[in-house]
Amino acid sequence: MAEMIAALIHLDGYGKFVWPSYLITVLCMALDAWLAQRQLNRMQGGRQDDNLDNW
Amino acid sequence: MTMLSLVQRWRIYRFASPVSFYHFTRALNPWLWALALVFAAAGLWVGFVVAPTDATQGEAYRIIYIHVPAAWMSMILYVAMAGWAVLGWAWKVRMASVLARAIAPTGAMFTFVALVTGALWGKPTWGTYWVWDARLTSELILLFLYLGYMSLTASIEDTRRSDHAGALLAAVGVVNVPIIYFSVVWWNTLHQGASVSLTAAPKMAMTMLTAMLLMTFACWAYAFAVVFTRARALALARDAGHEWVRALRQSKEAA
Repeated sequence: MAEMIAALIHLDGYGKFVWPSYLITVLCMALDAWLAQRQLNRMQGGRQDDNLDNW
Repeated sequence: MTMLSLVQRWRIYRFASPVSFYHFTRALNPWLWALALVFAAAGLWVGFVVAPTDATQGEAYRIIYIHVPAAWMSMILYVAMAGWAVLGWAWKVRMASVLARAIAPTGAMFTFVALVTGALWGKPTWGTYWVWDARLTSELILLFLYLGYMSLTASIEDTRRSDHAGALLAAVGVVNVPIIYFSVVWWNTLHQGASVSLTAAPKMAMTMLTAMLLMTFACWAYAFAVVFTRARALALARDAGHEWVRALRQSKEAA
């Protein structure tokens, strides 16, 4: 496990590019999902100011 | 069994109704999220624990487990978006246009992820984050097509006209997808050729391929879940004055 974590966060000089890739991916996916859920919550609540233009 | 008889047997057409679609996808979404988490956990386990370090690239190759699924999703979602948009335009299927719009942000997100993770993989393997080679440039054009579709549909107030304009742009943009896919064959690119093909044996170790496919399934489940969530919101917006939406909002307020 320690070796895996070491590989993830660096350590042979290449791994340092790996964890930012996954971090950026998770952040993008979370933002996409959050925006969709927020839009749904607003529409379920009948918010008229939230129209089709708001992604 | 023909496609038509399958459609009739399973009554697939009922999901063209916003009410049926809304309730069906609401029930389906928790399962899709669970599937996405299970596949992602399994894919990451196989990819980071079971699969060995690459002989030439070291650990950097492990970006493949998110880069390739994201790139695949970016292309598949664009084709799906264009297909639904044209279906909504040609046959006036309301939920088709809604689905096209719901797919666009998630498709753009996967395209962005493919570009960024590709850049982060390019630095340790090619020595640069970016080159203007055919594969990278055509993928960047795909991101612009997604953003163009979203901007165009958002800028036209009349829903039907905006659906039509968006469908036209999406349909024209489809030509970019085979260009992305075959760019590594048609041109001499820095980007490597396909490691996985339907017509040839994979050029990678089975553990690596397994991890990549598991992560692809996770991305599929995620994309379905988020697109359905957004489509439900858009269906509610378009049917705002309808009885079923009023009843839904009243029941939510009562709860």
